[in-house]
Amino acid sequence: MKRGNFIFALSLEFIGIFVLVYSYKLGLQKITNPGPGLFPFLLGIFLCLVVLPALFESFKKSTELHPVDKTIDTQALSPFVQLCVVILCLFEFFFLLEILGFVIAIFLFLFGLFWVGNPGRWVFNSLISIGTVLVTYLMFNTLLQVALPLGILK
Amino acid sequence: MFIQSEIILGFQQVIEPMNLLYCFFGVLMGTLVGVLPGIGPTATISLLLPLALIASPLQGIVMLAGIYYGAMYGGSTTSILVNIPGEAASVVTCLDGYAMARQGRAGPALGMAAIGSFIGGTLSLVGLMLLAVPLSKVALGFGPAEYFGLLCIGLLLVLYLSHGSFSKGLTIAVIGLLLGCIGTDETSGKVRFAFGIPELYDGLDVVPMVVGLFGISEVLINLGSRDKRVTVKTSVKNLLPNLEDWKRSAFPILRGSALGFFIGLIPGGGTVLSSFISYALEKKISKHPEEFGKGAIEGVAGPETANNASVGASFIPLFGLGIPSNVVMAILLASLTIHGVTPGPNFIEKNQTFFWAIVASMYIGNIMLLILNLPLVGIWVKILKIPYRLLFPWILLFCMVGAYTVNSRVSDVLTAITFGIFGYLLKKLDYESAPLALGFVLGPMFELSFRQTMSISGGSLGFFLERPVALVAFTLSAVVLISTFFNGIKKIREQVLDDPNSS
Repeated sequence: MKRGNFIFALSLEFIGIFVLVYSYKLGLQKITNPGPGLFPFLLGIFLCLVVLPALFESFKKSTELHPVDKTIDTQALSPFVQLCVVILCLFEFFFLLEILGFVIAIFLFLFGLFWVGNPGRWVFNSLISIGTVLVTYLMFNTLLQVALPLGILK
Repeated sequence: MFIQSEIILGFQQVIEPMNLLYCFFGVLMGTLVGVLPGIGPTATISLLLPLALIASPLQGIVMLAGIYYGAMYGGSTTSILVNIPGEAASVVTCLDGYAMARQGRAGPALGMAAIGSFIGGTLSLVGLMLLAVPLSKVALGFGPAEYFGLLCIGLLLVLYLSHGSFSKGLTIAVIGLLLGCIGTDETSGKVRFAFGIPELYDGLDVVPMVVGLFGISEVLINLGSRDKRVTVKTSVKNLLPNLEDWKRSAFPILRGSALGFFIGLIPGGGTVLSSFISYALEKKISKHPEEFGKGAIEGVAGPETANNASVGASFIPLFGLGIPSNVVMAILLASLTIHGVTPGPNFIEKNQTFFWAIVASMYIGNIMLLILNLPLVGIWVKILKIPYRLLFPWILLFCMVGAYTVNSRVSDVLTAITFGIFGYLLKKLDYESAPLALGFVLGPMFELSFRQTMSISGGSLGFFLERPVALVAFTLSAVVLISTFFNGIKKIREQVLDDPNSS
């Protein structure tokens, strides 16, 4: 993650510079009557400065490093796939919530997540997802009176 | 007499069935997340924040506070039985608690942890009652310069005392402060950092942000972890400690209460530091330091008492000054502000019934926790066996539904996902996410006090130094910054000297 640290610190340095330019354009005005840009401008300067140690450290370590061992551990792939599927499920919920409605979107979301933990157990995953959808819908819609989008079930 | 009548009023308020129900739900959830490794009190408070906003301000804060101190109780169970701390404050309890369990003394270890927690929690509430009101009266004389100074030292101490890198923590806190600038500037009416997105005109919403940062990222980071929990095969009967245990634990409990309380007052002190210092202190002054790590009951009683005592104390800066001393308090502050209740010097005077009802709820909550943790320990042991692969979909479900239901806006779901992924990246890169939330909540307070001071002082930065409280706060801030700077230089120098290729 040394390279990651370097990229992250460098991105923050650029963000700091962007904040400086953006807040300068917002208007700094006078110190006696600070404008909307003054406080973020000062934060921008501060950000550029405080990122420097992390940037220096990550750069120093990345140059010291021996070539990264690229051998792929087949077992280590599994958490990465899990991570990708979970993030995919999160975005599925975001994109489909208002189109398909709460019930269908949350079922797909839960089914995907339970599949990550229990791959291959289709019946178990389906049943537990349906059960959770019912309980959640009743709890939020009936008990807590929260309006949930109906989508295509309108 | 004043306190007596006020606390009675608080009890009258809190014993209403719905308030008691929220208190019970809070401590129950707190114990549950304390027991379950992989989800901490900050994540749970974030997850249940939407529910707290649906409830009345009192019910919401009673529930959220219950989660916080409840987690301190529950955390010891996993430390003692599985050798895995349920939350960070119970790490040291593993050392002697698990050793006691392996010797067949899990019962007295769990019992003493619960009793110590109860005593520490209750004594810190007495301190809260005695100190919060005088502090708020002193704080009434504070102007924006004092607030700016206190906010600076508060934030710096939180970063200084946290376990991660100071410079990384400070970087993330500045990002948090910048995120707090998003939206319409109240003084000039100009929209800042919204980039034409209407949803950002009112600023970022704290709820989806903390849901993502602490709830979603916690799940993402735990996905690859192995799900092996081996509960020690021993009887968890005979929970009440024997006379010898009491003799050995009485003073550690008293010392833990005092120590935890004072550490809890310091910004960033919190539960983790108090339990570690208590353990070190007990080992240092013990006549049998060699027994520590091999099942000394003092090593359970002291730290478990101290971490609970620090919880009560951490409410004092929040209610007396309006300044949160840690990320949990920052979330509570945000929750109160959304409800239209603003903690600060006037808070207790203007909301006496509300304040005393919260204090009363904590007394009741501590008793509920004692009942939940001692006779029901068997149930918690069974819950420990629920595999994480079944738990995490429900946690994420709460995150998503919680983020959506606050404003019924799908954009809030996207905010939660974004901060979830960002929080995951932060953890992977060894950055802490707590300073981000703290900076975000404190950002508007920082800017307001800075602008007010500049206007009053005519732009003279020397004005900060003419006010004694601000002067002390800035001196301490400078000490923290300078010492961290020199420590950093020393570290780099050592690295260079150790590096064989450097010459």
